[in-house]
Amino acid sequence: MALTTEDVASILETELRSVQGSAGPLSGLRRLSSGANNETWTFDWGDSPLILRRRPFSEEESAAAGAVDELGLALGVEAQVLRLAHDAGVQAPEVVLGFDQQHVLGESYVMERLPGEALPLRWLSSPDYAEARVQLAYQCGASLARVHTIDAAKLPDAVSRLPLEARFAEIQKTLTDAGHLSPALQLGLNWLIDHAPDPEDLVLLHGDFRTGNILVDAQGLSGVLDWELAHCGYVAADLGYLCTPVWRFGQLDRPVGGFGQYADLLAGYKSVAGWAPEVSAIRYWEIFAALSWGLVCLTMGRLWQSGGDRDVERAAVARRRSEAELDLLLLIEAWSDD
Amino acid sequence: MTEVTNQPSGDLSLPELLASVREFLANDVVPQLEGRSQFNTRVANGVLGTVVRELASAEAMASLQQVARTQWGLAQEVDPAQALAKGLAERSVTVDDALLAWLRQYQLLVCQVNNPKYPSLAQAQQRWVEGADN
Repeated sequence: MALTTEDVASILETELRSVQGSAGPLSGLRRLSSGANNETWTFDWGDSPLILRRRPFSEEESAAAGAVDELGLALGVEAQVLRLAHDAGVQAPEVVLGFDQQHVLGESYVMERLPGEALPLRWLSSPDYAEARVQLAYQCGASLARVHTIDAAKLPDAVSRLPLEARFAEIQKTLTDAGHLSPALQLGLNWLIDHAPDPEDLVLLHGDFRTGNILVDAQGLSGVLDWELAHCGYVAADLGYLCTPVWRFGQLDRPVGGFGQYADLLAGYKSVAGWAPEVSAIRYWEIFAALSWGLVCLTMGRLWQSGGDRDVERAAVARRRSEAELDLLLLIEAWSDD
Repeated sequence: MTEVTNQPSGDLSLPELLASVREFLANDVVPQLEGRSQFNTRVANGVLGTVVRELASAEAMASLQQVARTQWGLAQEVDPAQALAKGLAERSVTVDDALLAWLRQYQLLVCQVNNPKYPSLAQAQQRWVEGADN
């Protein structure tokens, strides 16, 4: 349902007033992004900075409009995962309110707006954040270890628990359906299958923990955002994802997100979990994450072609697949060299 | 073919037409916009940059594709990248030095077209082009 900013403000005002101890007033409401499926709004409730995430259409309406719903959890599931993560001590925003599809806002939730800078260009090389960056790899390791300690039995059923072999099969289907257009992505998938780690217990993974999706302030890590790709998988997958070259934003000599070193990430992980994966495991998952980026680019291209989302940025991202293809060749070569 | 001289011929090529649109977007349109529209206009200008680079690389791409057709005995109408991807999926194409050498050249060119500023590209060029000369 299309709601005006005034409509959204009035609905939020009513709902927040019903929460005990909430006084308001509501101010500064504005929409931040126009994603394929979800809207993000920012506003203040009294002194509390908040964020609204809402899905403006039902699933049926999205399907009718041709949206390809391939990226991410439904908002209600995302809110449940956020609550579990927050309770586990992860710097995830606290969820304040949640609404289902029947609500006038549609499926949506309200969460706190955490302090800190998200844009990598602002904090990755600025001297203002030099001290923050020193702590950051350790803090990210510790934060991911907390995510991984969350009891998988408490997770909503909609959070994927696919075994690795099934994920390979899914990826192969995507590449086949796309018409076998990328020898580099296929080479990457073959390599990952041939070098797959032994089966291990699946844990909750953030799934998109990287520079650009974390908040950084003067003390380092201040927030962990963008939980829509959360799923269950192997521990080292989240660590490798953070280290894959595309998310180093040009700082290739700092493997952890473009700001840190493996040893600090692993020390932080160990400080919470009591153990940490080997660097070689991280490097395997860097290759997996490079392939994943290629698949995201492919999906963006399909979203644009399907007509569901004709945003020019989707078209531009589709061509960034070549970053993943190049990285796959480089990473596999480096693995063979060692 | 027009002879290349320092004098403007008055006959604009496709890259020059695209350059005129790109300059218009960057100099006249972007400063007047804000927020999402300004961002998307910058992105659109970047997309036109990709078009310019793909036009400029067409000959190099065609000759690289010809190399692959000869190397793997592919018919003229076959797209070598697709054929190799399919062969790899079926595990009928061997990952050997010849395949890796061709794929590296291909991905260098494709990345040069799509994102010439991608940091790994400089690393790859150093490894696969400059390193190979030593």
